[in-house]
Parts: sequence; C-alpha cells; structure tokens
Amino acid sequence: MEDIFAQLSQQVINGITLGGVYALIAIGYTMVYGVLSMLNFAHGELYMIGGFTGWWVLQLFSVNHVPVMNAALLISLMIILSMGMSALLGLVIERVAYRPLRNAPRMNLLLSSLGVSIFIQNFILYFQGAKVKVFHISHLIPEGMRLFHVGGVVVSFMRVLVISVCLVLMAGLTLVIKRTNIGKSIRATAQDIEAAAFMGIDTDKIIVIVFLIGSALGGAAGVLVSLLFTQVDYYVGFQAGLKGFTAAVLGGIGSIPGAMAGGLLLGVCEALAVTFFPSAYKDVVAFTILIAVLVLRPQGLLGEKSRDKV
Amino acid sequence: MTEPILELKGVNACYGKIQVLYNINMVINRGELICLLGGNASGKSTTLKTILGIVRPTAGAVFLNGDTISKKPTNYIVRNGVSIVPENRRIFPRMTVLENLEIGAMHRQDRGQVNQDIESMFELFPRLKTRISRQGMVLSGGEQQMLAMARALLSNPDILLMDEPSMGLSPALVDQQFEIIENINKKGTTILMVEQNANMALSIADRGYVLQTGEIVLADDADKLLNHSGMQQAYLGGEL
Amino acid sequence: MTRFSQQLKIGPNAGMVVFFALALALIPSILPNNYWQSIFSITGVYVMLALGLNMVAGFTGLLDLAYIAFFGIGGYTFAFLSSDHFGLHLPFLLALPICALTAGASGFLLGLTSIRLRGDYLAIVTLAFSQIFKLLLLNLDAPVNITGGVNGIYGFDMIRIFFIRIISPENYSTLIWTCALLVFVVAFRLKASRIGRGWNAIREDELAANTIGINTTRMKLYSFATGAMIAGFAGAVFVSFQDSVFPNNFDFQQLVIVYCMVIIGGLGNIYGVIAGAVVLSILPEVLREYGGLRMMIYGGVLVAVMIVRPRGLFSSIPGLPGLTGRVKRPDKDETGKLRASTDLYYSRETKSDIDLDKCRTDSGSNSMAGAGAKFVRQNTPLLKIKNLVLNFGGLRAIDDLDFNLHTNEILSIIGPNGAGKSTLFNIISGIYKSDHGQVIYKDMDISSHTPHMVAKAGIARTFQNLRLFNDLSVIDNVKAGRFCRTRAFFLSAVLNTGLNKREERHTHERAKEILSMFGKRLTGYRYDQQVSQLSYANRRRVEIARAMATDPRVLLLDEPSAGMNPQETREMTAFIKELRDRFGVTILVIEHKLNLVKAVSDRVIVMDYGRIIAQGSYEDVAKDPGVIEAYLGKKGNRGD
Repeated sequence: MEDIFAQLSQQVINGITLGGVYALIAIGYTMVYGVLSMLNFAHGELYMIGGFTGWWVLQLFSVNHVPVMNAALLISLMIILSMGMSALLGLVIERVAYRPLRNAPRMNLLLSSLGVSIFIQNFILYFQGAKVKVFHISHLIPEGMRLFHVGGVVVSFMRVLVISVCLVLMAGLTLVIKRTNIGKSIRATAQDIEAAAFMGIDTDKIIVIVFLIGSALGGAAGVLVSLLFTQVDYYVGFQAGLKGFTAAVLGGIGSIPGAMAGGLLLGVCEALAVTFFPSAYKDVVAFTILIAVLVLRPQGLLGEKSRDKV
Repeated sequence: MTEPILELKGVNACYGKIQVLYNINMVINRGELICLLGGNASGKSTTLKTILGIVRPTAGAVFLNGDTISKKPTNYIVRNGVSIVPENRRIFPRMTVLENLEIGAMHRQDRGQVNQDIESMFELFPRLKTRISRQGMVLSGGEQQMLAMARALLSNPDILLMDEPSMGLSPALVDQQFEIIENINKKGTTILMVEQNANMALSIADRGYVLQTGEIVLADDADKLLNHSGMQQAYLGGEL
Repeated sequence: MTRFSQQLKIGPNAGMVVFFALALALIPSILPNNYWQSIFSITGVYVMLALGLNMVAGFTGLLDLAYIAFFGIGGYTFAFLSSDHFGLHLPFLLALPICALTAGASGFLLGLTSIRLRGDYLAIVTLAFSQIFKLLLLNLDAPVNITGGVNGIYGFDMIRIFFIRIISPENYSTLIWTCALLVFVVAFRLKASRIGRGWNAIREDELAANTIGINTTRMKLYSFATGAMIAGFAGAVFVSFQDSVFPNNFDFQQLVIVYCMVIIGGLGNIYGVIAGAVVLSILPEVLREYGGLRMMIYGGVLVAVMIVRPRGLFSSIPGLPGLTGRVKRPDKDETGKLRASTDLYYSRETKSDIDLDKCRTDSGSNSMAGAGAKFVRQNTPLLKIKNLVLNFGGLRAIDDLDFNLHTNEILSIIGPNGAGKSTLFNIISGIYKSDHGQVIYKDMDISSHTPHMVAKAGIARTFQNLRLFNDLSVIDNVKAGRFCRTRAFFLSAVLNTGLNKREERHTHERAKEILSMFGKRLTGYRYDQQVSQLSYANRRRVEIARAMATDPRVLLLDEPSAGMNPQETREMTAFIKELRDRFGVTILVIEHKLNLVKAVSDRVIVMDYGRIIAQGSYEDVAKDPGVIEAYLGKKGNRGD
C-alpha cells in the first residue's frame, strides 16, 4: 500500500514537471490564438530551437564536457539565450509567414504555419543532422545536489529546476498580463482587436509582443526538457507542440490561466497513465484526451461557450 | 469658433474592387455637434472607418487639425485626438469596468490627471461607479453604452465619433442618451455622430450631412434639414 | 451565345484523357530503367493521393491532417488480407475495394466525432488521430503481433486479375495508372455533380450553404469519408507495388508532400493538382543531390505559395486547357472603378430590354397586378409566428412576437435598426433557436428545424449583408440552390446514370431560367463570371436567384434593395411583385425604403424593440404616430 502511494506521488511529481513544461508551450499557443485566432503549427519548432540553443551554448562553454564557467551561470545563460533565440525566430516567422496573410482565409494561414514548421524542422535536420544531441551535464550539478529525498519520493535536481523555472516564468507572465499596460493591451487585443485599435493600442506591435512572449516561453520549455532528459533532436518539436496544444485546448484556448491549468492536468494525466499502461502508450493517452475534449467540450474545461452572430 | 478639427476632402473609398464612397467633403469645426445621416448601406459607417484609418481613401484625404492622416494607422489617429464610441459599443467583455476605462486613457501622457478624470466620468455616469469591478459582458445595454462613452472620453479627444449611439437601447434610454450627448458637446467636446434616429439626432445637432449610395446629397444646418422636403426621401429612399 | 455554359460538362476534358492514355501506353516503354519505371509508378500513386486530398481540402475546404493515416489504413488492410501475416489470401479485386471501404469507414467514424468542429480544431483532431495511428502501428506488435511493429509486413500474394498476372514493373505501372485514371474520372464526375457543388458551397460559406438546403454536416462527413476511401484505395495499390508496408510510409512528411502537391496545383483545381503531383514526384529525382533540402524546400514553398499565389502555381498559365482561370470581365463605370450600385457597363444594352411595365410600379402598380397576375393574396395563413421570444444575454431581441403570413401575400417588416427584424429571419430560417414560441409552416412546427430542413420544407432567404459563394460562378451559385431539389447520389454521379443526366440537364436549364428573370443582366457571359466580380446590385440579384432555385413557397428577403440606386430600386420593386404575381411566391420582406414597401406590400408590420408596434395596410401604418416616432425618432418636429 505504502509502495503504491510512493509510486503515485513519484508519478505526480514527474507529471507536474512535464505539466509545467506543457503549460509553457500551451501559453504560446493560447496567446497567439487569442490575438490572431490562428493555430501556430510552427510553435513546436520554437521549442525545439530552444533545446538546440541550449545545447549550442553548452557546447560553446564546455571543454571535454566540463563547463568553463560557473554552473549556475551557465544554466541561466542556456535558459536566457534559448528564450532569446526562440523569441527572435518567433518574430521572424510572424513577419515573414503570417503578417502577409493577416486578411487571408484561415486555412491559408494554417497551411503557412505548417510550411514554417516543416521548414524549420528540416533546416535543423539538414544542418545539425538527425542524431540526438546529448547534454553532458554531469559536471554541472554538484554531487550532493543531484537527488533529493522527500519521504519515499526521489526528486532530481533537474526536476526542481524545471518546476521552479516554470513557476517563475508563469508568475512573471501573470504579473505582466494583470498589472502592466502591455498586459492590458494584450488582453484588450485578444478580446476585440478592432476595439483595441480604437483605444489607441498599436495592435501590430501587440501581436509582435505576443509572438515574442509565446516564443520565448516555448524556447524555455525546450531547453528545460532537454536539460531534464539530457538530449534533443530535430523532431522533438512536433510531439511537444501537439502536447502543448492539447494542454491549451484542455484549458480552453485563448485563456492563459487555462493553458497553465491544462498543462499541469495533462502532465499529471500522462504520468499516471504510465502507471497503468505500457509507456509507449503515453502519447496515445494524451492524444485521446485531446480528441475527447475537442469533441465533448470544444470550449475547453475553463473556456466559455460563445454564440456566433450572423 | 470656425477652427476646423476634422476635414474630408474629396474622399473616395472602396471595399476591394467595389467603390462605396464618392467624393466626400466634410468639415467639422471645434465645438460642433455634427450628425451624419443616411439609410443602410449608404456609406455612413464607411466614412467613420475612413476617418479612423481602417478603410484607406483611394482618392482625396482626411485632415486632422490640419495634418493629413489618410495614411496613418488607426492607433496613431486615436492617439492624436480622434476617439470613437463604436457601433455595438465593443466593450472588452472580460475586463472590469475600471479596466475598460483605464484602457481608454492608457495612451495619455498626463498620467496624474487620469484618476481624476475617471472620477469625473463617474460623476457623469454615476451608474458606472456602482458597477466598477463588474466584467464588461455582464453589463446591460445602457450601461455598456455609458461605459463606451466614458471610455472614449477618457482619451481626451479633439473629436468624438459616435456610431449609432441609440441602437438597441430602450426608448427611455434613448432620450437619456441624447441628453448626455448634448451635454458632452456643451462641455466642449466636438462630436461627429452617425445615427439612424434622424429627427432626434438633428434636434440636438448643429449641422448634418445626408449620405445616399456613397455620396453626400444634402448638407445643411440641422434646423433646415429637419424641415427639408428632400430629407425623408434621401433618408428612406423615397417619399413617405 | 454558344460560348457560355451552353453545354454541360460532365465528362473529363479530352486532353486529360489523352494524357492518361499516353501515360498508360507509351511512357513505360520509353523509360530507361527499372528505377525510372518505379518513379513512374509512384507518380501514379501520388496522383491518386493528391486527387483524393483535393476532394477534402480543395472541394470542401476541410483541413484533413489524418489523410495519410487513411492511406495507411488502406495499406495495412491490404497487408492483412493478402499475405501470410494472418494467412488470409483474398484475391486482389476483392481486397482492393475492402481496403478502400475500410479506410472510408474509418474516415466516416472519425468524421462523426469531429466534423462539427471549426476548421482549425478539425485539423488538430485529425492530426492527433494520425499520431495515434502511427503509434499504434509501431506498438501493436506485442503482445499479439498485429501490425508487425517497426518492421512492418512484407511479402504479399502475387496479384492476379482474372488471368493476368501482375509481375513486371511495366505491369505494375499499368495497374497503378489505370487506378489513377479511375480516381480521376471519379473526381471529375463528382466535381461536376450536385455533390461537388454542395461541397464547394460549404467551402465558400457554410451557413449560406445550410440555408439553401444543404445538410452541411452530412456533406462534410461524406467529403471526409470519400477522401479517406480514395486514400485507402491508393494505399492498397501502393503497398502491393512496394510488396511491403512500414509505419514510416505514413508519417507526417508524406502528408506534407501530398498537401504541397495539392496546394501548388491549386486547391480544388483537378488538372492543377495532377500537374502538382507529377511535378513534385519527378522534381526530387532530378534534383537528387539536393535531397537533404527537399523537405525544407517543401516547407518554404508551402509558405510562399500561400502568400503569393494562394490559388496555386498553375492557376493561370495561359494555353493549358483546364488550367486557365476564368476570363474576368468586371463591370466598371467610366472611370474604370467598379461602382457599388450601378450597372453602367451593361445598362446600355439592357435598358431597352427591360419590360417597361416593371419600371412603372409607382403609378401603374394596379394595372400591372391586374394584367399579369396569376396569384393574389389568399386568406389562409401559410406561416404562423406564435409568441416568439429570444434573448441575447440581457437584451430581449424578440419579445413575444405573434403574426401570420398568408398564402401569396407580400408582407413587409419595417422598423429601425436593432428592432429585431433580421433576428426574426434568423429564427424562421433555423439559424437561431427561439427561447419560447413556435414557427408553424403549413401546420408543421418548424421551430426546431435546422436551416437546411427549413429550406427543404420550402422557405428560402437572402441575407442583409449578402452571403454568396464568392469564388463560384453566377450559374454555379444558382445551381447550388438546386441541391435540395435533386437526388443524384455518389454512384449516380460517378457512373453518370440516367437520373444524373436528367437532373443535371434540368438543373442547368432551371438555373438559366431563373437568371433570365432579371432580363439580360445575369445572362450570357455573366453565367461564368465569378460573383465576386459582380456589382453590388447584381450580387443581390444572384442571391435572390439562388434562393429561388430552391423552389420556395415562402421567400424571406432581407433588405433586397439595400445599396441600390433609385432606378435599381424601382426594378427590384417590380421584381418582388412579379415573384408573387407570376410565380406565386409568398414573400416576407424587410426593407427600409418606404417607396418600395408602399408599392409591394399587401400588409406592413412595424417592429421596434422586438415587438410589433403597428400593422395593417401601408397607408394605415404610415399614419400611425407611433410608427413615425419609432422610425424617424421622437421629438419629431421640435418646431411644432
């Protein structure tokens, strides 16, 4: 009995870790959807780029897998540069592939984002190869800090790091959205883009900012997961993107708190599923949840039903 | 008194390939209350959209305080003194009344003055104060209209555009609405109002323009338009 | 005149048949080696795949990302049925249709759950489905070996079609291209049929499609399932050619390749899509040394095409039959601008043709009604509105509305904006559901009918802001209106049976007949003109024509003369009268122009705040002080 409890707690911890990451990805989807009513299929690739940037930084500042600088500094640098790189890429994508289609049918926008996704994925495949990039971080974490024992549950340093970074980022975002003028402008733009322009808000700028924030969070998610599993490859963005999207839908697309809740919920569901099904079916469970939610409650668990006006 | 704030000179506008405005000439002077009348699809809303830079003129130009704004983005035009109470009010549904008001004043430079101005809006619309932390979407139609007006006024506009302010309001509220508009105007706000309720609008306006299939067919003082024989024809597409 | 849609096109273009025949007969013998032979065969598979996807994404506008999974379902079903894997050895000609049907049925079931979702949600559900499919393929080799896991299934039975054995690469390419030809004919026939028109209508405007009697949910489902079926068919042919099947045959990249083919060719454009498939199958082989860049280029091309040529690369290459876009002749005024409310381009020719009677309604309305009228207002109610209530949030949009529309009556509804007039139309036509009350049509309660059921029952409508199928031609817009009065179904359309031929001919004639009701304004070259190129007034006319094509007993006209100039308004006035007098249509019309209302109405209802504030003859209503106040506003004459 105690065993099962410990095992479940362990899975819940794992679930929260992944869930936090899903939430970060979901926020990007949900924010972009909020202002543009489009699914950014390329969002998963920003996650992947985040992971790769982390790896490049690590390579750059390590000699024979030994970091040449303070470990805490290096990890911070990895996270910050990953966020920066993904944000930059997000901006470029918005500018090149989405802005010209602002008034086009939605299907064109979706296909364009699909094209962007394929392009980035294969760009990395071409220039970085298909081989998994391994993060050699054994020297990054001091011996005594690698594992924590809490009751019968073992938590690795990386999990603690991932959870805390996710929490910090989400709290920061919440503050920005609730308190600052930028945040208010983002909410106004998401609720009614034309009315926001009537208020003197530069909605083009807000859309850019939304891509910036969403992409940066996606990049952070990418580097965090890569650190957690100590690897990254060109294809991780596809699955992660779908997971993040599932989380966003679960919480009600367009809602930032919904995305956070949806991410955590999905992470925990997946982790618990692993206790009952072979781990190969973890993703099947996640996608089945996605289909079920979309079919049964398309507005998401926290979303509101809207009536289309004719 | 005759200091032009907003001028449209020979404005043509199109939706895609379909032309909807033909050679629109209008002048609105400081302190005036002007109404823009016409039947459905006559181009009234398009005129407002052209002023706001949502629709671009294909010929002619729009001038705000003497400078052309024809190629400026909407947010620039709003920041420089044009404010609108849009059709259907367009309250931000998932923001509180206070947040809606703050957004209206967000681009102002004189931040210190804003809180005081919000208070004065509550004096003008006492009902809003009782709803201060309610979300926009739970307000009644009348309350939303008040909020939309207060929100627009908080940007300290040189000219206030109003798109169908009486639409969807009950008769008692319509009366009240026009009184408020008249009041705001008397306090010094220049107003350009698009309105279906022609007689009511003309009864408080200084001057009026009448649009028909994208052209100005009548332009005169409000009193004269009220009793103009061609008015009903132009407005209703035919004689009563 | 013979240039304009006078002949019905049901059969494929001769040039295309020649292309396929050449592909079948000549190309295999001129190919240098087996390698190119196999590329030739694969090209045939891609042609099939692209044509199938085109039916879903191009004809109907559904972003189906599970398409490649249906390809896989067909492939694996074939592997199950025709190999040692399960010891089943069905003959090819039996296995092939089963594969197609299995994939089609899977598509139908997936569609059942998700077809009601909005476009982008459908994309995600289907993407998730294709992921689940791939994961199952990879993992269902244990505990029971079903899919063979990552190694797949290989070694299929030799194909024997009657006494012909398919062994050599040439045999295979002939088989594959024969199948491609079959798919081509099916695609073409479906596109030219009422089913294709229904799909196109849904793509252009789903709500409008619904209100002209197309069961949009069901038709989308059929489209989805048809695409899946063709994918399954292609899948079976493909794996039999490959003689093996692996999960990797059906990964996301394959889907993107097929989408690129369809998009480069131009969504919905059959010939373009075939060209897209051929080019994208052969090009990578020519550019082999850049193989690593291939998918990257595809991604870039997808973005570029969407931005620069959303209708596809082949949409307007002159000289290629079928690939050319329609000749567009927009109507312009002297300044070269399209004018919203006039038909100057056409007016010189038409004015003399228009029946002068039609323009004389104001003065001579009585005599005209007397002369040509076959139908006059009866005293029997045809449509009863009973105690209708509808709330929008806190606002009561319709407040206890209660009135009857009599047989062959023209009843006008007037009132200020926001009075609830259009909302009433939306309730009658089934778009909104009322909170209380009933709509009774011919003693049948239609309150809970969906829009397409309302249309089928005999009530058609137009929209205040026009909802036409903008990318379709004038005549196709009207033909789409015939959907609910025709029956030809898939088999009938694909085999072009007698029923289909009769119906198509009749649909065509009827559409021309209806369009000729507007004099020459919408005839001749205008049949083939895209409605987005028409003047505002003409678009209003097309919308009425489309509604009339559903053979309505009751017609709901929402501001038919909005945006029209006085001359056009007079014509419209005469036309509305004629619809009743000559064609016996009962008409409920919302209108602001009171001279029109005065000329056409048997009765007038004035609405304000969702209620009736006055009703009766125009003269009575016009004198009612409450009406004047509601319409022109209070404080009417401050000077008095």
